[in-house]
Amino acid sequence: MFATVERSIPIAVVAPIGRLDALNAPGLRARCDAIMTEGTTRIVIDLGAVIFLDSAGLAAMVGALKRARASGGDVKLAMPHDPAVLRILELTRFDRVFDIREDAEVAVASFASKHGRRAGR
Amino acid sequence: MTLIALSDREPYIPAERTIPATLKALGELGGHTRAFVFSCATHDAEATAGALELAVHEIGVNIVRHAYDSQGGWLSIAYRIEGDDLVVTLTDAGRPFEPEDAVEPDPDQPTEGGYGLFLVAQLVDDLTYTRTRDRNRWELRVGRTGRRAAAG
Repeated sequence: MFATVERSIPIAVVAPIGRLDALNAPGLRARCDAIMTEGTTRIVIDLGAVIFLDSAGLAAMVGALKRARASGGDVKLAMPHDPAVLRILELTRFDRVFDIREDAEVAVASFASKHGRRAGR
Repeated sequence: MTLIALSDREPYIPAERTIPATLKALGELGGHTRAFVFSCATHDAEATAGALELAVHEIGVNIVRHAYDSQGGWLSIAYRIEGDDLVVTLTDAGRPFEPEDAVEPDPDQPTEGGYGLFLVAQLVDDLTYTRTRDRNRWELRVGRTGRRAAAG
């Protein structure tokens, strides 16, 4: 359910597909852990293809964020296309926790620009 | 996958069912919850269905993980229409709910858990928990014509 793109520069994009819930959030957690264990601490989680997000999915993303920031990196999100998923991010104020960009490409590019603007919302 | 036929006239009230308290078993509830809302809701059914589906899911996960500590058990779910409200009730025989299990998210200090019940409270109009003898009972209620809180 995950598509991962490793890049020549140390940024990884993880793209969960479908449901990101209690049943498969451990998969996201494991994928992010593996990426960071390999030394990449800048990660984009692309929510573009996520159609259901629950509190376990949120927890997995926060876990990745904390580990990345503790290592000097960061986790950014690419905007979900599903309005219900976006609403969950807003209800839980995750839109204030994460740097959320329009899409994965913009999120990746923003790592190179410390002064890049966040997605207007 | 569960396919559910919908009537144009009659509300679809899923039969009360008891399922194993496992994350996998919770998966079968989403289709019934959505079908229930789509057959009854009169306004913005998509948003109401999504909200109630997630709320039921979160309560189910809470039962699996906290009431039973992921050691197995059962939960039952029942749907009904009460006036202008769509009502879902989940019952289990696990340990009682502890209010400190619920955490309000703090954007300045995000934690790796505890968002479930906060989320449910945001998604439904009324959330009620009662403990009677050795049973936990959760009742979720949303307005048939759209979430009342959302209209305010």
